[in-house]
Amino acid sequence: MSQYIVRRFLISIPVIILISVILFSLVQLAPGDAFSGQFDPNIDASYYEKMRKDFGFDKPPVEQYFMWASNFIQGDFGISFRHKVEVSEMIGNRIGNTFFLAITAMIITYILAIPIGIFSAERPYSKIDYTITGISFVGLSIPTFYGALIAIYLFSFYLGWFPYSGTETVGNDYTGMAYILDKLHHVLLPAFTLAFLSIAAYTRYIRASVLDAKQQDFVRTAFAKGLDQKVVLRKHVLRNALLPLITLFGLDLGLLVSGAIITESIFSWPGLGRLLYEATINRDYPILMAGYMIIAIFVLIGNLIADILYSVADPRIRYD
Amino acid sequence: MIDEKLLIINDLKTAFSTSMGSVTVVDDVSLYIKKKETLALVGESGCGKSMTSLSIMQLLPVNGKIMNGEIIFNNHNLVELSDKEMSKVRGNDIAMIFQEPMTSLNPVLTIGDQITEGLLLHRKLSKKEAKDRAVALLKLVGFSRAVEVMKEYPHQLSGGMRQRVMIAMAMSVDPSLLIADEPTTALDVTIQAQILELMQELKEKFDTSILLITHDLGVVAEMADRVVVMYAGEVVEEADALSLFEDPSHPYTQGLIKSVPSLDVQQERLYSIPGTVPAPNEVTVGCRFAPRCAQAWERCSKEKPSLYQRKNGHQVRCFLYELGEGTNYNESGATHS
Repeated sequence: MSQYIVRRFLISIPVIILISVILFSLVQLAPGDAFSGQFDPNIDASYYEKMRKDFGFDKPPVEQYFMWASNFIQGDFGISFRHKVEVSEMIGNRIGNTFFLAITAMIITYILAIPIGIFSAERPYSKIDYTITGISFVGLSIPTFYGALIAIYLFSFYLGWFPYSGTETVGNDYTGMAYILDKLHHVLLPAFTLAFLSIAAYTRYIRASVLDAKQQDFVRTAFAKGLDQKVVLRKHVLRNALLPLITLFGLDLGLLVSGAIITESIFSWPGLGRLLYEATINRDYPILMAGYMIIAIFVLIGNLIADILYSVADPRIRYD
Repeated sequence: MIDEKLLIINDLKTAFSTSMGSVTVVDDVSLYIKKKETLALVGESGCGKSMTSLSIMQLLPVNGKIMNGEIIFNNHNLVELSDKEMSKVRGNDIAMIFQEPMTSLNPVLTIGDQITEGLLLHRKLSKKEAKDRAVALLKLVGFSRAVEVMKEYPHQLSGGMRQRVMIAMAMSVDPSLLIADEPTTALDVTIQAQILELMQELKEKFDTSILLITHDLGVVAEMADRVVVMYAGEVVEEADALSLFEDPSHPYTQGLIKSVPSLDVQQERLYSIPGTVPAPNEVTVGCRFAPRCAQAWERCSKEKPSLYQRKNGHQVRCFLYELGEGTNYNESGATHS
């Protein structure tokens, strides 16, 4: 097992390098650079050239890549062109918020989707099952930006239950429990908005998976033993039906850091998604490269964790 | 006489509700199993033999339902039992093994877990006692390394081994009736023989009755005391095993026996009964086998034959035997062997 993990790590290294090359090329291929639109068109062209030289934009792309790579490996993510601040600091400030939002959304998704999916699969083709399916499709069809606006209108303006922006109440120096509650109060609305779509998707997925497991021969064997419905469901059906969720969980782990651009923007949530969106518009290469590399690394780690969990949960899978 | 019958099925009718309406898959089936007897239920795919067994266990698919009839087991009508009462019968008095050993065991639970499950449920044993009994059973069904197998998972065993596990699981609670639904169909021939031998051995050891569902006449010859032949949801012939092979009476049974390859006769092609089984939702007026029967005449497609008695409880659903023991009603039918 540990051998497998080490091997997976080693395989990940060339993958990471390849990803960095592709990312760097894509960023370079995008028209314009960090100075586009930033200068007065009437300014002396030689000044523009000097600035490009200072930032190293005149060098061939390959050389630029190696410069970036050697800095990145040493932990130097560079300085934002636009904000003139260390990129590591900017990402460090944002990544916690993104984690917080994404994990809350993930927990909400699992807490709701798993029971609803099982409930639905227990009564296939009944009225309540069709109702849940219907709502799921509505959830899948509503675009996030629209869902977010509805949520803000309903829960912030109309009912006044939740704040609609920021991560904490401005100007309040809460400590201890009050601080945590204030944070939770702010995160719930964007997290629910973010979770709405995945609840719908997970519910559909779990329903199908449980229904499928219920039709397996070993479930009939379990009933033939005289076990009652509840025991069969808990011990035989769910163990098998929820295994594939591990894969989804691994993918979700990777998405934790990528942030939710739309949700973060609408709720003015200072997360990584919004930072990357702004950096893309401004061709702020150091932020872009560092941000996307972190996402890539998290996706790889998420997949690795999923594989390891799978081998623990499913005896048929062994990696040695 | 009555007291030696373990299971009596009277006029069982099982139907499925489908998008095309109600479809009867088991039609007025009556049969009985005596204590310590092996009854073979024979017929081709879709004739209702598996549905008969699932009706006994009340494990029919959700859209299946027993419409009529009674299933008397130990003086209780199983059809009338509540779910809770029925789950005390299942896996306790009546155990079942299935066709597909590859998929009939739960892939994520150990063999030990799955065998002791029934014991813990029905026998109120401690975990230790259940485990000891499971090990003893695994040894009984032929595992020399029983203790290790307890901790293994189904995917680590071959098909034949898994069927042995299924048998150990079924026999663990010492059932009075074992229903075996095509227990050897998915196994290769040498393993088949071993599994049949094992079942025979255990049957004698535990005094169990067996309802053996199969389409394989070789298995029938080896195992069965009596045979019930089903065709399109109906019983068409019932006889003790010897009479059935010596004097197959229903044209369908004759066809079945004729289609078994023989070592004594050189055959270019194997015999097959012309035509196919009618779809369950097809409405038939006369004998259901008539469209495929070489000996059918006008009457067969107009009237439905009932079961006619021959000697020693041999019954046949065919007009050829209407006038009684061994007599052919129709001259043209006299050519049958």
